[in-house]
Amino acid sequence: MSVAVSHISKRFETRGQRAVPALRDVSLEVQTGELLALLGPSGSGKTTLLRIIAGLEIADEGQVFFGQEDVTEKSAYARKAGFVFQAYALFQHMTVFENIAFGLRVLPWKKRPNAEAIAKRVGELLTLIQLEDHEKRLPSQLSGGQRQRVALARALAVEPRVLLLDEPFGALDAKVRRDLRKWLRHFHEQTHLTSLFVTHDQDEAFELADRVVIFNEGRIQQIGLPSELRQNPANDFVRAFLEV
Amino acid sequence: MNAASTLPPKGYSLAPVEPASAQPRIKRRKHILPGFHLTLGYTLIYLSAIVLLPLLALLLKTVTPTADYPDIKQVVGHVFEVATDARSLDSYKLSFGISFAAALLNGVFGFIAAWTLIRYQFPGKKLIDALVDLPFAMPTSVAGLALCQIFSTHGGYLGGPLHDWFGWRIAYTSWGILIALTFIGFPFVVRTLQPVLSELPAEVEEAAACLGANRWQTFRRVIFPAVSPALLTGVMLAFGRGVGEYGSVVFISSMIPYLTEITPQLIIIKLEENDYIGAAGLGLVMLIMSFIIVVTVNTIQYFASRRGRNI
Amino acid sequence: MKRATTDSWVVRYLLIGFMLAFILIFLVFPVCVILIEALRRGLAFYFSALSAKHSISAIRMTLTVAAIVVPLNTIFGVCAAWAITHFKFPGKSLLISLIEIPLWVSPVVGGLVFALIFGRQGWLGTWLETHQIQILFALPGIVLATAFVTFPFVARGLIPLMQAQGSAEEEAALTLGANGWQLFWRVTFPKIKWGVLYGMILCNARAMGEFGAVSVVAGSVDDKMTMPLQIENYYQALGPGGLPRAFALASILLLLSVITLAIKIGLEWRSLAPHTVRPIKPVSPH
Repeated sequence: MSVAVSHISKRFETRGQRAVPALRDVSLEVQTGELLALLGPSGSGKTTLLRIIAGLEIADEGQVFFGQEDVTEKSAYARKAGFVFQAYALFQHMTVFENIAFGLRVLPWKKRPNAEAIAKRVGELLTLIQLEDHEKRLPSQLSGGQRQRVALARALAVEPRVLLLDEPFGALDAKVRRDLRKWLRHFHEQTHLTSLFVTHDQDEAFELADRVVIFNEGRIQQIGLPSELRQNPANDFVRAFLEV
Repeated sequence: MNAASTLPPKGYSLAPVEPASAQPRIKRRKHILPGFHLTLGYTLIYLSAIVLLPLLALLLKTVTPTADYPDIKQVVGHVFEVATDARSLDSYKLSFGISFAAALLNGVFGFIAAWTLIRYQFPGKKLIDALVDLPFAMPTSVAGLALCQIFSTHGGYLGGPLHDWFGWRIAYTSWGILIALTFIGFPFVVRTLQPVLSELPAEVEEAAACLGANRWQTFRRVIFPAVSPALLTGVMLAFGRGVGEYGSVVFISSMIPYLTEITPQLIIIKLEENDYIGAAGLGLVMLIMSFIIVVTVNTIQYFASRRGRNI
Repeated sequence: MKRATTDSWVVRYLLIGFMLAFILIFLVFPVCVILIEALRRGLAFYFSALSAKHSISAIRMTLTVAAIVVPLNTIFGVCAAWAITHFKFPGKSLLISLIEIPLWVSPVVGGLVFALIFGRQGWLGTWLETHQIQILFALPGIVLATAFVTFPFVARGLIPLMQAQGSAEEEAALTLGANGWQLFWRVTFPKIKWGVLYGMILCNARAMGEFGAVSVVAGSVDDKMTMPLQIENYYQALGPGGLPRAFALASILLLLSVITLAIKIGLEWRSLAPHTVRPIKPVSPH
C-alpha cells in the first residue's frame, strides 16, 4: 500500500495572534513496502504531517492518498493506519493482553474473530515482541522499552495497511534504543509493511530508513537515500543539519 | 543529484491529482474524535433548559407588562420600588452585612484551621480534616435545626446557659444568623487555603529566618502576602454562599420584617403575596450581587496569577 | 509537613486548641445534638416518627427526586466534560462559567425562576391551569428546582479530571478502529468512573438536602414535601410531637451526609477524585 500526500498545508492558531504555519505545501509519495524517515528539528512539522496521514489532524489544504484511494475526508477510525504514539498511549487500566487485543475486539460484529482466534493472534504478537510472560501485566508495571513494544504490537494486531511511528524510541535510553532499532529493521525486512517514522535523531533515520525526508519550518528540504543526502546536500540547511 | 525541491526523485511519480486551486471547496471535517455534535448539542440544550432559559425568564419578568402594570415603565417602576423599599433595604443590610461578617469570621477561623491542618501534626488530624467538609455535606435544614436547638434561648444547650448567665440571646436574633452563616461558609476558606499553604516553598521562610526575621515578621511579611489572594478568594466564596443561604437561617431566625428578615425570605413572601414582579426584582438584585462576587473572585485570581502566585 | 522553621510550641498549642474548640462547637456538637434529640424519647418513638404518614411520603418524594435528578445531571456532566476536553471550539470558557452559575446563585433564586415560569402569574401559568397540568407544588417543579441547584456537581468533578487525562488514549483507540461508543465505554469510562461517582454522591447529597429552592416551588402542600421541607413542617407544628419528629427525619439526612462524606473522603485519600472548591480554569485540549 503506497501513501501519498499532495499540497498539504496546515496552520495552527494560537490565541488571537497570527496563525503559525506548521506545514506549507508539502507533497510526498511513499512506495509500497518502503520504510521512510521524517527527519528534522523540533517544530519542523514532521509530527504534524504524520498525524495528518493518520487522520489525527485535519489539513487546511491538500489531500492524502492510501494507494489510489483519497482518504482525506476519512476519519482515523476509517483509515486504519497503525499509529505508535510518542508516549505510547497504552490503555492504563487494561493488561498487556487486553491492550493488544483491543483493535480486534472493537471490530464490527461480522469481522470480529472469536475469543480463541484473538488469543492466538495476541499470542503470536507477544512472541514477536518477546513479552510472552507479561500478558497479564499492567502498563504501569512495564519498563519504557517494554511499553513501546506493546504499543507496536497493539498497532500491528489489526493488520494495518500502513504503519506510522511518532518518535518511537524517543524516551528510551541508548541501549534499549539500539536494540529496538535493530528489531524494527528486522521486522520491516520480514513484513515489508509500508512505514513512516518521525525522528529528530539522524543516526536513527539513516540506519533504519530506505529513504529520508528532511524537514524544516514546515517544508521538505530534501528527500533521498541516506547516501545521496550525505553526498549532495541540497541546501545550506541540510548541510548544516547533517553536519556534512 | 537533484536540487532541493518538494518533488520526489526521478523514477517515482506522484499519484494523479488535480492542483489545489481546481479542487472544489470540500467541507472539511473539523473534529477528530467522534461525538462533537451529540455531546455539545445535548450540553447546550440541557444547559439552556435548566439554567439559561429560567434565568432569562426572571430577567424578562422585570420588564414585561402585565395586567396590573400595563406599561413597561410601570413594570420597571414597580421593580425599582420594591427593590429600594425600606423593607428590602433592611433585608439587604441584613443579608449582605451578616454574610460579610460571617465571611470575615471564617477568614480568621478558616485560616487558623488551614494553618494547623497543613503545618502541624497532632493525633486525629485526618479525622478533623475530614470533618471540615461537614457543612458541605450536611443539608442546610439539618444544620439549621441543630444550631437552633443549641443556641435557643430557653432550653438550648448553649443558648440556655448563655442567657441565664449573661443575658445573651442568640437564636432569633442576628447573632443566630451570624452563627448559621459561619457554619455554612467555614469549609470554603479552609479548602481554598490548604493547597496554597502546602505549596509554599520552605526555602523562602528559611531565607527570611537567615536574614534575621523572627516568626511573626516572617509570617507578616513573607507568608501572609503569599496566601492572601487565596484567603481573599475563600472569603469571597464564603460571602457568596452566605448571601444566598436560606435553609439554615430559616430555623434560627425569627424572620421579623425590617429586623431579622433576610432577602431570600423576602422573595418568598413576595411570591406568596402574588407580587411576582417584585419577587423578580429582588431576585435580580441578588443575581447582580452574585455576579459582582464572581467577577471579584476572577479578578483576584487573574491578578494573583499574573504576579506568578498560585491559587 | 517537614519545615525547617517551626513555630514555638506555645503558638502551636494555642492555635491547635483554638481550632479544635471551634470545630467541636460548630461542627461536632450539632451532629451530636441531632442524634441526642432524635433518640430522646426512645427508640420506639423514633421508629414511629419515621413511619408517620408524612415522614414516609417525604422520604419517598426525596428519593424519587434524587433518582431522577442525579442520573440526568450525570449524563449532562459526562457529555459536557467530553465536549470540553476533546474538542476545540470558541466560547469554551464561557460555557464553563455558565455551567457554574447555579453554584453562585442563591437557592431561593433557583426556585424563583421556575415559579416565575410555571406559577399562577408566571409565563405558562394560565396555560397550565387550563390544561390542568401541575408543575409547581408537585414532582415536576421539585425536580426542576433541584436539577438547577445540583446542576454543576458532576461536570465540575469530571472536567479537570478528563483534561488532566488528555485525549491520547482515545486517539490511540481511534486509530485501532474503535467507534464512538466503544471509545467511551472501553477507554474513557474506566478512567473516569471514580470521578463520576464522586460527582454523583455530591449531587445526590445536595439533591436530597436541598431546602431553599424546593421551598419556593413546593412550599406548604402537605403530601408533596421533601424531607427537608417536612423537617421544617414538623418544626413549626404546634404540640409536643413536632420537634422530635423533625429530629428523627433530620437524623436520616444526617446519616446520608456522613455516608456521603465517608465516600468522598475515601475517594480523595486514594487520589481517585479531584478535591475542588475553587472555580475551574479551562485548559485547551492539545
